[in-house]
Amino acid sequence: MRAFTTQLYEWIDKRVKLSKYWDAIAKHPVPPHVSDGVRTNPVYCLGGIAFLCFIILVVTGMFLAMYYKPTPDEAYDSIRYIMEEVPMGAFIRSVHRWAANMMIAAVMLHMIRVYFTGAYKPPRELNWVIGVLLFLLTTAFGFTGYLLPWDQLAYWATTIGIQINSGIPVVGPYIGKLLMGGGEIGPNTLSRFYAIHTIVLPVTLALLLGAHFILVRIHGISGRYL
Amino acid sequence: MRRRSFLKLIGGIFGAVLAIDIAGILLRYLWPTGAGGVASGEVKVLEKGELLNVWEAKHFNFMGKAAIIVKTPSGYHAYGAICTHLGCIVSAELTEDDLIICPCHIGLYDPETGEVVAGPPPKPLPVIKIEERDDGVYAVEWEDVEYVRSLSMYA
Repeated sequence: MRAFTTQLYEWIDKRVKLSKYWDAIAKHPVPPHVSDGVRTNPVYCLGGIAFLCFIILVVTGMFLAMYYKPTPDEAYDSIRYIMEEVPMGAFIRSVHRWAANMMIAAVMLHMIRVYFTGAYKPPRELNWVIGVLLFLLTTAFGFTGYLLPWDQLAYWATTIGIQINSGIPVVGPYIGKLLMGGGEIGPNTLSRFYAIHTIVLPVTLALLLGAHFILVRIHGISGRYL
Repeated sequence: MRRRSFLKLIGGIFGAVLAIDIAGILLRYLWPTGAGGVASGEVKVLEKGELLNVWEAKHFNFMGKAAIIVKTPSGYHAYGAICTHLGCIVSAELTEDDLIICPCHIGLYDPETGEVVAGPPPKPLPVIKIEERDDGVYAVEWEDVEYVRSLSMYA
């Protein structure tokens, strides 16, 4: 008698050919300079680490969104509530925060690895471009998420960020106003940043990540340089 | 031109116009309404019957800038709430000595005049003229517009 889980897997596999796709994803061979099956070169894991951080951020973010209230009156108090009253709330938020920092670090290191191994060269230029967009989206995540606690640090960091954007010639002031949702940082800015942080950016990033991964599979991992 | 390519062209133009239209609608949706460039800065600060106790203060928005109204024994006074030191917003809770405090670097202001009492602020808070009318308290205008213009934090 085989295990129930095995039976369940086989039942599903017969109907949707799960193993065909799963093996293609999970058992896809990599070049020996990346992994010889025993030891894996960690510099080739950085993109994966960034992706893992993203998954952690999505999951913890979903839980944070259950309690967080994006209004000037309630934002700070709702986060204080998460940190002090909600069971495991401080853990969830801290993981979100650490994973956010880790993701930016991993993305930057991944970029450095790609640069120094020449993995941006033809035919992989387009994937480098997508990677730069992903990096910018990651920093946009950091920028919008930083405002949400609605404390002095958040307020002034956002003031500076918006002033930098407003410094762009010609279109800058319009971008600033569009970001703030008005003439100053207020309730509209908070709800805008919340929507960007929790809906716009995750969807955009996930789509670009899909393209990023598909292109990696089309091109394969670049040759041996390290 | 063959019929197929003609129809493709027409369809393409139609699609492009539609896309620009949709983009325009979305941009109009996102563009903030009624913000900035308000010629008349007059704003109702306190509703009729909404009274502050003595040494109580409240934030409001005046000409797109943070402002504060405070009740002292001599009546209501209103000031720009942006600290002249480094541009933090002064607190709406007065100190135990009944002074307006900027929490960033402990700048203290006199709630009767807006003058600096202690701390790093180089200049007093700009005064906002107020009027008590039948239906509430109104912030009317800067007492000294030139002074406000001279403050870099109010630019």
